[in-house]
Amino acid sequence: MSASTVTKKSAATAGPATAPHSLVAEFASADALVRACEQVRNAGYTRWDAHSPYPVHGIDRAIGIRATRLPVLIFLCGATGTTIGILLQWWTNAVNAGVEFPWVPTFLQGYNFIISGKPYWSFPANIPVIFELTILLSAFGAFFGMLALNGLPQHYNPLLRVDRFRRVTDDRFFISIAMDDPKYGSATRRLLEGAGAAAVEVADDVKESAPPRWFLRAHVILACFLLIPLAVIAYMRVDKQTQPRIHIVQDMDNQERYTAGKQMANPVFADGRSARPKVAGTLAREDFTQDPHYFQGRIGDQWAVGIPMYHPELQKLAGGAAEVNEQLMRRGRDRYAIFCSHCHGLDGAGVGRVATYTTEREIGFVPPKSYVDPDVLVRPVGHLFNTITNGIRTMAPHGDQIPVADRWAIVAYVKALQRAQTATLEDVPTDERSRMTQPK
Amino acid sequence: MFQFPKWMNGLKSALAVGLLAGPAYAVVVVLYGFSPQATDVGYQPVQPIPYSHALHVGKLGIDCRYCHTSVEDAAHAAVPPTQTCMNCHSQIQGRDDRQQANIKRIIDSHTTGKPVHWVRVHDAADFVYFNHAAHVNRGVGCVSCHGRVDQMEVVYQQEHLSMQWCLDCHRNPGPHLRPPEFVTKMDWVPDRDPARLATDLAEQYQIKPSTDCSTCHR
Amino acid sequence: MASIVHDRDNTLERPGQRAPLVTGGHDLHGVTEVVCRVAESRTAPAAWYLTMGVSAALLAALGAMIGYLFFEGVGVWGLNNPVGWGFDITNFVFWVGIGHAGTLISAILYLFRQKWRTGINRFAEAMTIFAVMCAGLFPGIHIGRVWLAFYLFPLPNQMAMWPNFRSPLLWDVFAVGTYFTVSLLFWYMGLIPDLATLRDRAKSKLSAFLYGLFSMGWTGSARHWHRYERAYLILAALSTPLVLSVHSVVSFDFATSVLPGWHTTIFPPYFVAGAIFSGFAMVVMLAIPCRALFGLKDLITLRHLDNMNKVILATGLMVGYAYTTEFFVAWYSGSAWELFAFKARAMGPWWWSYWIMFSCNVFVPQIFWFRWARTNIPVMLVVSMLVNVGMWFERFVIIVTSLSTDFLPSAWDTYWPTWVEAWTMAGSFGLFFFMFGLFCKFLPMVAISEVKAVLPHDAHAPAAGGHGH
Repeated sequence: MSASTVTKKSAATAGPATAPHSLVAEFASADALVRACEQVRNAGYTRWDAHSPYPVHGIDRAIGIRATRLPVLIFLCGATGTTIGILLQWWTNAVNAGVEFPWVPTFLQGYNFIISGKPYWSFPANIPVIFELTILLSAFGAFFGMLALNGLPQHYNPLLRVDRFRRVTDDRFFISIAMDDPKYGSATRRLLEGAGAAAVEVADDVKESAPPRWFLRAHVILACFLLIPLAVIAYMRVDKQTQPRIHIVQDMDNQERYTAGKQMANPVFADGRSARPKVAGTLAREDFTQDPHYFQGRIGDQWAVGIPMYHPELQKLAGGAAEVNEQLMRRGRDRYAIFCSHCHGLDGAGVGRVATYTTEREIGFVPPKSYVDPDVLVRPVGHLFNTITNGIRTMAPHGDQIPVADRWAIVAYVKALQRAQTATLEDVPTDERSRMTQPK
Repeated sequence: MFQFPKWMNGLKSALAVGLLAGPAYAVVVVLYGFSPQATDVGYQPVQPIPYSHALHVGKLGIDCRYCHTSVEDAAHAAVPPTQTCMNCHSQIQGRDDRQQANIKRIIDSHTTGKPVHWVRVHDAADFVYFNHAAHVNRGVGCVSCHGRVDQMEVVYQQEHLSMQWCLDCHRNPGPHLRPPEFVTKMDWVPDRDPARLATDLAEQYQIKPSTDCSTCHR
Repeated sequence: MASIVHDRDNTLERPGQRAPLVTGGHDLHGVTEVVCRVAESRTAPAAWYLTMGVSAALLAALGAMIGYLFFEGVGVWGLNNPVGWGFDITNFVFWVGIGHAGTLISAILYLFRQKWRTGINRFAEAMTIFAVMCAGLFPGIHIGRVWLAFYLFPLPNQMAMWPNFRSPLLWDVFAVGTYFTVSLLFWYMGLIPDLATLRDRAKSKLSAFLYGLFSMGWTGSARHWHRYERAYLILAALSTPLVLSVHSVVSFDFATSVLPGWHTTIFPPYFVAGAIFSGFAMVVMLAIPCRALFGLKDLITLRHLDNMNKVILATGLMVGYAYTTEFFVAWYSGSAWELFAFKARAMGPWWWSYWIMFSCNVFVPQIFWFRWARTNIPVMLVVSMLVNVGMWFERFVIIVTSLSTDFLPSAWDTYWPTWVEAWTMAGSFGLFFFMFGLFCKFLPMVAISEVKAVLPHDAHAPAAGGHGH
């Protein structure tokens, strides 16, 4: 390592070490070049070339250059372009990939949506893009294929170290013969001079070939810098952030409009509340009604004893029936589970999870009464309805959370719970009793 | 006469690699860095009062709909008013100073009438129409879009809410379907062959999600 | 520089004797000298500095206008509900059209073995590239939300959305994008041997490095020339249908819609002819000052200008034929809407723009029937400028008159550009001339190696045959 560094440094101070590489012969005209090329070719050289400021007519034959495979390459590129054009448009516009190919990741799935009533797949409309992609890829094939087959870019070339050779792009013509040509020998120079060369020179090749340290270091450092975004991305994908996404441009993500459903702060009112409390001295429709039975659970000044099944909202829950049925009961059980069970317990015994949790921790919470408490058992349905709506003792009112019909469904279910827990064998239909007493 | 150093010829392959690796790098950065997974997921705003879904939903078993009452009937799942908190917290006022201080802010809100400015976590862009009722009533569980809220001390955004994410389900809704009575059940698992169940549910509830533009952009 | 300012008349052809394509008796080295001295000179003509100064100022104005547009939105333009396309798309079509002459000269004339193309193909191709840059700018900024421009390309994204390939507007993206890329490759490929010439003559290390870097180590190897010529021929063969497709696709933007005045099958050939017409006018307009300022009169001879003027005359007649046919078809179709649209063009609120278009494009080029006009520099300068004005108005007439008076009279509205649009348009000229100025000064304006290949044989190879014999 250190030894090589030393040699390199000393070499740099002394100028690069060189070795002869090829022989360069200058010719004054294209004609002379073509004639000389024929002689070199006939002498059997293989590692040689002619150089001219413009493509000289007939030189291919004089050197014996075989026709390039470039057209085949370009054709293949063009065919690839055609294929891509067809498949790309078919896949992205004409395939419902999410349904037909669900294993493809969503962001790569095709999306066949209707625009202007055009068919998903209609070949005439797809021809322009297919055509353009064919041309584009063919052109890439022509340009990059030419470079690749020519071995370009090749910025360093021993021939360019010969000052005389620099006129090759101006007005002189050259033949270069590499010294590692099997035919190369002392006769080579004579051959070139005999073929009419105006001058023959040796092109030297430098030996040094390693990029300088600063160049490598700069690229290593650059590569390290390129890792930073990746690290940031990896972190962003797993972290939690308290700030919302940065909207560099709004793009109508957040429109300047008031959306009630989004419960935005309402600028019209000083307290900003979007859900407004009742205005003092006014009544909601359900407070002031012709139907105190349904809305308040009262008939006159008595608690109602029946479920107001005449009401269409309640009938809707019962599937259109005008009586308490299983469907209404299921609804009641469903709503009971949502709104009541965490305190009252699923069985109504008053030991829901909230009650248990608070009792265990001795947080001042009065557990609800059991539904089979004698006081509760005798309460008419109207009273239970009123309790849900307006609360009782420490139980808060739930009227704002539960629609009226659902409250009645809950009442019906609570009544069923009471009935079930105070039931005796006599309550069971006679033909079912035998099943209940059967040993397991 | 200026000469290029000989090692420059050796850069040809490095150049080719760079020409391929450069775009690949750009693709990776854009695909992963600009993805909603990086920019949107994990949004966990600080709420004005440290309400814990893990406690109220996970431990106490309060149903989502006890507070978010409108979810089955409306496009939006309403954030509850202070009154809903007061249903319990009129009695439960906390055991230690920290709890009491937090609960006091709820009580203050109730007495003063100043609403609590809860911060919206899941905020779809305003040009998108999303209807909670349409999804919840046909058996798309809360957990499909909001994650295991019952385990979140502080709620955060777990899913992209990107268009691709919406389409994913609209094209292939099966894996996200469950009987509607279990929509709020966070730890629900199908009790029979999931593929069969999905087919049956899709049949029963006529689930044929549209992917037309105007389904969501109206 | 002053030594090579001859205006030899090489426009006459005698049977059996070809007029020289290069005047002044230059040999190979002479050609190299003439072209390279522009890039190698440490100074430039005063007119060049003036052009660069003015165009840089306009370019800055363009940047400011685009910045203002991005910040404020397309509302700063004068577009309104019926007239959703105004100066923006007019300029787009205008600039794309300008580009066509370059490809026509470099590709189609190459396939037809028109050797006179070698004198003008390089800077015509450069003109193509800069014009297409200006063209691409306008659709890019007219969408209002430029940051969403990636929607135009089939890139996987978080929306799982793809472009609508059934839309002509998307065909445009592919056509113009391909056209720009292929033109750039074609141009750069032609530049490689000439950049090598500049590299080999470079005096300073910086220019040796830069020209060397971009000439990729070209040594004029016969084996390289062989593949190079094959690639060049195939690129020319590819560019030929490409250039015809580009303006056809641009015309589809209009022709596939149902708007009276747009919905017509004549549009593709009519647009292509108009594009070549305006493009050649632009080449003439640029060639005249360039050959005078940079001493290129021996390479871009009167014969070149004469030939181009003939093309202008021919395509001008085609354009005039299209204008007339449009009117005939509007009447013959029996469609009241169509006939109304054309009456509105010629006699409606924009009658003046229609008649500017018609006179500049149809009447003015008729002077080129006369040989004295085709070889008279001031005449052709004026004509080429007028043709460009006329062709700009052609696009304006097609777009604005059709949009502003469509089927429903209650929806009609007028259109007038705002100062922002006017300066954006001026700025696009600034961009064009700035790029072109840089090209003139720092790159070989004439294809050195191609001109050398068509020099009279005695100048380089007494017995060898030339190309195409």
